[in-house]
Amino acid sequence: MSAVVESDGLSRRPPLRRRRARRRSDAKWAYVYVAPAVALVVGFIGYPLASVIYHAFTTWDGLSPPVWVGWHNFSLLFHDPIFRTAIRNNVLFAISVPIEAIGALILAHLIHQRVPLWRFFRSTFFLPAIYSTVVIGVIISVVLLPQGPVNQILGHVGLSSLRHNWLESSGTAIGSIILVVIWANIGYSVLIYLAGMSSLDPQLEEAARLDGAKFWGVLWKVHAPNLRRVVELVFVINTITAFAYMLPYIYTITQGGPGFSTYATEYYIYDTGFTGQRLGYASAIGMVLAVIMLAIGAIQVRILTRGGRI
Amino acid sequence: MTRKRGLLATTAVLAAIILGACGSSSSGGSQKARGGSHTLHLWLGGDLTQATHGSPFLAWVDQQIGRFEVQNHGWKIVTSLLPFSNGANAAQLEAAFASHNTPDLMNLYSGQFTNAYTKVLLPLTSFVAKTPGLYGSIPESVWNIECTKYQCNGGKGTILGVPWNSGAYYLFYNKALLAKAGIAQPPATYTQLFADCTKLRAAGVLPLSMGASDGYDTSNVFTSNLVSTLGPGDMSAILAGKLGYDNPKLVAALQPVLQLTSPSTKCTSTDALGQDQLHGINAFQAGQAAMTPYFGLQLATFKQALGTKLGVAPLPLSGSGPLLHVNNGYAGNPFDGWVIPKGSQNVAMAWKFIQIASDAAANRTSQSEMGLSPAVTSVVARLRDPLQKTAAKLAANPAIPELDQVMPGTFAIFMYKQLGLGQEGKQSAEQTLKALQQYAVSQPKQGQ
Repeated sequence: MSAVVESDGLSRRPPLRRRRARRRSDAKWAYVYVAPAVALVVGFIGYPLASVIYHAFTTWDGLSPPVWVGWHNFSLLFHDPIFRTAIRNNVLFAISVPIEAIGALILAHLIHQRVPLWRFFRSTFFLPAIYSTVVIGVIISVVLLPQGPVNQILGHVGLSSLRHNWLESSGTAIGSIILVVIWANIGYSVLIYLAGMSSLDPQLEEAARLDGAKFWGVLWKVHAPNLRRVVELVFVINTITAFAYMLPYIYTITQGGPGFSTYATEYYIYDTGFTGQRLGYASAIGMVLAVIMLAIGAIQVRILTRGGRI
Repeated sequence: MTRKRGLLATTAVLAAIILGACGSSSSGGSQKARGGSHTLHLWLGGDLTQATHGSPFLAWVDQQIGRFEVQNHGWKIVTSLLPFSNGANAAQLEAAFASHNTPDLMNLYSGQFTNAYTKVLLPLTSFVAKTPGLYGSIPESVWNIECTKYQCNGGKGTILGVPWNSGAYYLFYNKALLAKAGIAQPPATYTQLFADCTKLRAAGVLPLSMGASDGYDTSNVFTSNLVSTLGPGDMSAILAGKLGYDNPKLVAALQPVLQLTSPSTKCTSTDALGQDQLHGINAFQAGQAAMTPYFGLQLATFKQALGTKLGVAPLPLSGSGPLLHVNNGYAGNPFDGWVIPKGSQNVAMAWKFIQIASDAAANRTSQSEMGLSPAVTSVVARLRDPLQKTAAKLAANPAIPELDQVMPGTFAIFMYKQLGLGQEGKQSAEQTLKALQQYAVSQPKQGQ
């Protein structure tokens, strides 16, 4: 079928054949444009991921060629008491997530409602987030020493009986790390919520106040339902932190001690892989951790988005 | 329009190529430097991770480099510090060996820290054999820790490193504080030590300062006491898995050590429970505690702090086993050894540096400047300072090595943690060593 071409100089749609050829040419260029990004993703994410999956089924010390052992690493893993301790600790760290998510929401609401000194609180809540986790860990490891500032203050205010070896007791070491993580990360969550609240239509709040809603009513009946997606984001981010970003805190505060009581899974991966020269086993731990996190993430998203309820 | 797209696409592709090239050139940078000029690349691990600006360790390293450069005109040595932390150290070495991007030579901690890299280190047996007098100048018991399976067999075994010091754990004491409690001599047995703790407390003196939290102090004191409870061949049997870590001989050596921080003996303050090995010596150095267990490399610092009040003695012992009559009847080993990676580009020159940095002159200055006792027998014999002489004689020709220096690295790390729990009173000596034994049997065999 031949195209109809006007001869009056006005542009018309080019013939179908030419449009198809142009779309194919555009597609080629699209591939060229995304090629560098794809190369980076493949090189820095895809290849390492494939390597970890492969090495999880091998015994490898990093110095000699890996030896295929099949599921051996995984069977060792499920009988490994240190791994069980590490996963238990990650679950304990994850207990801080609802506290952080809901606590941050309340703090963000307070700031949004312009309570007295709200600018000051906004800055101080966010201050820990600008420090490196290593710096926070080092500071905390000094602050919680038996002769550190915390115990000194308790002594000065007449609470000497509460003085404790916070980081050398299994019970309080984990609790201390959880409190530090909440303090270090809550500011970031507050900021995310504030951004969400700022994007809401102010008329919603006005209407709620006209209907008699007070401070908490506005939070739970207006902000929270409309920030469902933001809450979901905060929960997911903090859960990922609890399972995959504890290494700097543990490395600098307790080094996994006393004993193995504050080991987390990624600290165990580092310790096993590099100090223990068991890179195959460390890869297996990494794979199991990734599967656990995927499962938790999927469950979280499902729960949080079901029926629009938080 | 098409031309513009073409330009943009070409730019993007070029950017990706340049990015990739930058990555590969930075990892191969040291190779280029090595290949292009008379430069030796030396990594400083082991005790020399402390060779920072202004430190006696760096001064000593610079001395040896100076001697090498004078004798080998046109050659330079460029040093890099490995991380102080064992874990980070191991990570860097792993990465270097795995990527075949290693220096010309290195200093590493001896024993299991060197044996872990047996496959990628150049055997030095033939080099040592061709160097007259080198093997005979250092006792066999010191050489053994630098060989595979910790057996040098008179120089015929596989030698991985050349030792340039030999150390041990000692009991440093403050003569004035002991005298205040009416104690004339430092304790030689744990029974005497616990009695002295009571006397010192009565005199208002903190008897012992040590760190309990990380298990390192405990490990060194425990393994030093093993020389009084083990028999000949027992150490090899432990490493071969034929004698369990929970054997009564080891339990007997650990029991009195764990009592050091027990409230019943009053030897230490509660601060010990929260302090690590490094901070455990603070009270002694400040002149507030009468005794502390530590390495010889702190000798110079203690001397500066305490002057003529400082004394050094062997750690107390709890048993009277046969090893007390073998060699010098003490536990010790070389702490450091020079090694050459298989990928070294300048093996001959690396060996020349090693010869210089492990000779008698280097051993002498290592003692005087860093407090690391010499490995060379003739240097030990000529020491004049009584404290240095005492420390060096204890470490020269040891009966057994320190256990954590020769056991597999992961076992040592597990042991430190269990010992830390034991020292804090959370578990008994039996429980501590049983846990270690259970861990050992659950791990895949690690080659020596």
